[in-house]
Amino acid sequence: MLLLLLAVLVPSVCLLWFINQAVQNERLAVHQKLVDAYRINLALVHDQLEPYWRQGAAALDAEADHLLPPALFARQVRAGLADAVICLDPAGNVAYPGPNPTPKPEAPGAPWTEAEYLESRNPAEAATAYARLLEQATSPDLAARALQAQARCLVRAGKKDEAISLLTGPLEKEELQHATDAQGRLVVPSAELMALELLKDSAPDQARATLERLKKRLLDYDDLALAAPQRRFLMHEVQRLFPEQTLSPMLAAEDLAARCLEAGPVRAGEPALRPTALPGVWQLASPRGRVVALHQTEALVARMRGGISAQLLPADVSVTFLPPGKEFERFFLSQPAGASLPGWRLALSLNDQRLFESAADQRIAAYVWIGLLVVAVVIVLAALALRLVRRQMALTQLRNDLVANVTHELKTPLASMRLLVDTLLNSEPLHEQTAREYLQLIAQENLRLSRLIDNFLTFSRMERNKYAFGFKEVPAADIVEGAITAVRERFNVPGCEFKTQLAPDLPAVVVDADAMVTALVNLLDNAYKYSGEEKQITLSASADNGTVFFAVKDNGIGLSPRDTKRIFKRFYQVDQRLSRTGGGCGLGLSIVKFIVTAHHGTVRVESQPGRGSTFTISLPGAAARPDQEQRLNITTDIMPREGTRPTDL
Amino acid sequence: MTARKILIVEDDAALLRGLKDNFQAQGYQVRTANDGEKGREAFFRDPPDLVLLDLMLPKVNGYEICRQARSRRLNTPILMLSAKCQEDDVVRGLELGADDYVTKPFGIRELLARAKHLSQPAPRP
Repeated sequence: MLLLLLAVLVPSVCLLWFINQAVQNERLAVHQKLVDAYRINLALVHDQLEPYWRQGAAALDAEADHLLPPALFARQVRAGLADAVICLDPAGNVAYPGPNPTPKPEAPGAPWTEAEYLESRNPAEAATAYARLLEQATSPDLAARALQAQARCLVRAGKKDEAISLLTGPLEKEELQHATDAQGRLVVPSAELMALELLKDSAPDQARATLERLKKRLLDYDDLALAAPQRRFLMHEVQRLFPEQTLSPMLAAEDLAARCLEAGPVRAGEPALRPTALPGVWQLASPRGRVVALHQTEALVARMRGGISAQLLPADVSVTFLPPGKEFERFFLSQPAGASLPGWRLALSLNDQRLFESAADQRIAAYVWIGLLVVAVVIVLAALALRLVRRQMALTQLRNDLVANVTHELKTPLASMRLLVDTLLNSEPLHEQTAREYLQLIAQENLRLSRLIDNFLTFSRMERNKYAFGFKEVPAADIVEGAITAVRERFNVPGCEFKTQLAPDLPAVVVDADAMVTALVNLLDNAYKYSGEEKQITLSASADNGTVFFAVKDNGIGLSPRDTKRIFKRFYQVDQRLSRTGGGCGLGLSIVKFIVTAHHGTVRVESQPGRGSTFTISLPGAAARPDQEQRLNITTDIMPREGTRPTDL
Repeated sequence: MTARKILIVEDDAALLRGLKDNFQAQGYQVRTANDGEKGREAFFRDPPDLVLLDLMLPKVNGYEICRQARSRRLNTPILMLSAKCQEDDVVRGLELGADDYVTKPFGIRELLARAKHLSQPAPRP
């Protein structure tokens, strides 16, 4: 049993393991196929990305040839080609943004010092002093400076309106537009900022006009006079005063470039995307080293995405650009992004993971089904084998029982006879009545022994298919009579009521009379054996439509439906213990079946457990028999057999 | 001295009759039972001086009766009577507590002698 279980389990487990392996392999194979297919797409992306950056870098140099640094800065940023740009002069110094303007330390003379001295003591007088200086001004720079200082002093003196009229009037004159202060900064934009601060709350309309002028000036990158640091400062101030005003993307670009320059020197002349000292900011230098474009990671990825054409990729996948250090293993497929993007990777992911699943699942399902089928077949085969083994074991058990039974059945009458004979021989003269009783008992035991031996011999011949029947036409009543004669003596005891019912005009049957009597006696023996203390046994014979019926009815223990199916099998006994009462080896009914089948008849049983059974043999009448007067050797097909043959008895 | 009591449990009517007559002739007080259930009942209700026990009995077999008797601490001598003559069968019977084992068919004089030996009270020192 354990062996059989192992025989099922081991192959099943092995098979499941194999299938598991196969499924994994299949997944890998499908994965590999998809990887191979999409690797080409990724390679195309790579091939397109590489020249995109190379050409982009070369274009920077070309622009540097015909654009001034501020204009180049503005063009790159406005066109969205970079987040900021640092322009270098041929010597490698920063040309934009920066540097700080060179101060112009023009010695203004004593009156200027006096006016500056007054400024903190008496702003009104200082204003007058500056007004005088304006009249004496020898250059636009000095005139503008005097005007700016006068306005500053007027504000301090509380004369806002006068200051505003100065700032928006005389300072807007054409000749003062490029005037600078002592630090080299343009005076006019600073004056405009001051005017904005004064006008912002009192005269919004006037403020708006001034703001537009200032914005125009700040965003005009063709004007070389405005230095980058002042531009950036003014932009921040405007943004502070008017948060709703947008100066992007230029303000952000100026900030980025400035921060980048503060963080450290730029590396020029290396046309590859490199990280800068600022985290999240990348630089791409032009080949000739005139320009360094700055990119923030997010914008950079967006630019790369824009740089590759959409037709390169099938609709069901998407490409991600991974900066160095980003994990790429979770992606379906990845490869280095190219020489222009050192450390970057191109990663491809499936938009719909089910695409991969469904491709793999179809094949896997086939494997699983095959596996299940094989397991099922193994189980079915094992079940069949188990059944066969069980039947074989049951048969072997029955045969072993038979040997024990035969021993018992043969020895019991022998023991009785020996005991009785010994008693008759050895005892003092017995009472004649007792002696007679002993002799009757001996005769009975003798008869029982003969019957047993007859049955064993029949069975033995039956097993070897050697039983030859001598068919003759015999009146049915004769058969019944023969059976009655055989059992009369035994059934004629207290507690046994034996009746016979013979229908009139019974037809003749073509039978082997001895065999048929044996069949009936076996049925009667069974009826006797399996009935209780008060036995009622009826043997009847009737005819219907040319068929003759012999029926044996008893009031015994009856049969369960399960037993009914089995009782005609060899060795089968309903109740092994009960059978001991009357002896027997479980051969009787199989012999009956054999004999009746050989006569082209049938035997059937109707039974209720606890109420009794009726066994009925039906035989075709002499007129209906096809092989009248034939002597016939029984061949294999008549005798139903199962399992192996027991050894001959 | 009162007559020795013997219980014969045997399902074969002819054998039972012969045994009963012989033991009665020897002066035993004989009781009989023709199946295991009746035999066990008679045995346990009034233990005799000797039990003659067939093995293959209807309802309850002889081994079972022997086992139950010994587990009830009944020391009555038991003589087993059986057609089973394999060594295993004999050993099994003796191991279950039988005092002797006779296989069928047997000589009546031998059986009577063994029965007499078994039913005699143990000699007092």
